[in-house]
Amino acid sequence: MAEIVVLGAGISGHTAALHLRRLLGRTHRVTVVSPNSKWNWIPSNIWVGVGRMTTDDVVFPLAPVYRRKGIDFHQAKAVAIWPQGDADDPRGAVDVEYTGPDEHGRTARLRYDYLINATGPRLRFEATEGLGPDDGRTVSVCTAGHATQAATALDAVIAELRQGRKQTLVIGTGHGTCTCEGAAFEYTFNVDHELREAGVRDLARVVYLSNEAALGDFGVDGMVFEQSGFQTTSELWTGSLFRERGVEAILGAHVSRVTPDAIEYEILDGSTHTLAYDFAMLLPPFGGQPIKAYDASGTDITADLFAPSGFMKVDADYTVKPYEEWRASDWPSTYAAPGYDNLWAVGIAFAPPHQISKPQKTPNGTVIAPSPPRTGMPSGVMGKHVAMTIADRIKHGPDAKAHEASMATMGAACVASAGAGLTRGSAAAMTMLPVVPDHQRYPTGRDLRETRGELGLHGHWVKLMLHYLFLYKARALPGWFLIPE
Amino acid sequence: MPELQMHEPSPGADPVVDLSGAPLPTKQTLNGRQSLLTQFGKFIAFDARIMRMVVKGNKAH
Ligand SMILES: Cc1cc2nc3c(=O)[nH]c(=O)nc-3n(C[C@H](O)[C@H](O)[C@H](O)COP(=O)(O)OP(=O)(O)OC[C@H]3O[C@@H](n4cnc5c(N)ncnc54)[C@H](O)[C@@H]3O)c2cc1C
Repeated sequence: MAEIVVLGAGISGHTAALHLRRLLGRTHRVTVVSPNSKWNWIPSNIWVGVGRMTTDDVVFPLAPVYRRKGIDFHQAKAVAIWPQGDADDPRGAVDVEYTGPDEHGRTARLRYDYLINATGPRLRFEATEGLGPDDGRTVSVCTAGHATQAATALDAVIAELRQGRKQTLVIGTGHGTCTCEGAAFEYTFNVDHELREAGVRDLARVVYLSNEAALGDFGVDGMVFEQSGFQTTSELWTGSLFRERGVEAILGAHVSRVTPDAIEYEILDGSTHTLAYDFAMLLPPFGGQPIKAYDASGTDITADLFAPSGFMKVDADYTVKPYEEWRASDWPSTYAAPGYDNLWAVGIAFAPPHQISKPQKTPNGTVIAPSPPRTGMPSGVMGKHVAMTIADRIKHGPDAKAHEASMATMGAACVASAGAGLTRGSAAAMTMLPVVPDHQRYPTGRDLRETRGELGLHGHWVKLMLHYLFLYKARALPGWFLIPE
Repeated sequence: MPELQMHEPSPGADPVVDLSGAPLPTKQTLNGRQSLLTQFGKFIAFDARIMRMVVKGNKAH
């Protein structure tokens, strides 16, 4: 019997666990370790953040699903990995600390034959003074709980506007190294939509404050589209939406501090500014979860297994080189940790070899460099492919070839909602192939037939369809595996 | 290179992007974006494109 442990029950880990269970007989044990008792369809947090959905619409409890599927579930967080085993047992092990109400604080060491690290991002609000909903002054939509708080704050601002008092709403990234600009973009236009629906848009100043050097960059170096026989850019296309909706944009910004009334930031030319605000939703930069690593003798090998960002090193080319020398082939394809054939990191948990957008520095030395997004579709695909690799190795022996799913070959759909409503909604629906541009293969970096961007009501329908489909799939209801990642 | 220009930051002003060069959609485009019939066609086309990408992505390895 093989023991497979999956750390994390988000998009990538949960996908991996369900596929492992599907591919392997019940003689093998699949265990999921995750500190949250619930699964969250994070993309729909945007709608929770404007009060269109409730937390219950975007989460469900994991335990009943895992019970039904025969997957062991530990509501716990991983704190250390022993990839070479310890003094008692040569098998790999992971130390976990329980987080559920009954066992809070209890620790255990779980043995594994195969381990998948799918622990997603640590939300590093502390990187910027005054950032975040807990110890700071800004709201967030990164978790369903945060999004609920954001909706309450937005309601308060709308109430002020209804009283005829002007308000400034700032939405964007709270640090120069943030990722997930697409989420900030969607929240901006959902807020704009809600202000219009409330009839108070004319009194509101909506500002998009982002670390992207250009509109439409989205941390993927922008996109080139073919439209009506011309090549156009995501920058022009996005700029059109900002202009149409009257949203102001401040770009190439690193937020250095958020005080009770102002956001202090520096832009690429080195100038510093302050922006007064009444409502601010600023995303935090991401880091890896604080998980240590030890060799069999107990020596700390965290720096061997993890990059300084806290993300786990995998089969990427981490050689430091200038932007001009970055290649699609630098990106990992099997997600195996170097030196181990039974340890992988998928989704946001793996360390990317470098950014996708060109990193920049201000004359003052401040780094303004959007981190590469690892969106839902690639994260799910990675989880599935690693599950297939493990299943093959268990069934056909350790030499079975690893399945590959590089972000430099796979595509992604990104549907950025711009307002909810079955007949009045809208979204910017984008597809790109590949996610990481490959200039050796395509003159514009991407396949122009598959890289498209369109605005309209259909985008809202797609986003809504994905919401229901992925909740269905994650609940592992009949035929779930027929729904692609 | 960014195509849309930043405003020259004047003292105290926010350096907002000058969007006057960004194309504004025509009334016809705006109507098309909300037209149920047109949008249904685009919905089907977008779904087909996602499925094609899934297949292509799988073939790539
Ligand atoms: C607001 C927002 C909107 C987004 N919208 C979109 C979108 O429209 N489309 C899209 O494709 N992507 C979107 N994304 C990105 C998408 O959510 C991520 O790509 C995806 O969640 C990454 O999956 P993951 O499994 O790597 O991480 P997550 O989904 O974050 O899962 C991580 C899991 O690990 C668990 N965990 C944390 N620490 C530990 C630990 N120490 N031990 C064990 N488990 C741990 C967590 O509890 C969680 O279950 C959005 C992201 C945000 C924040």
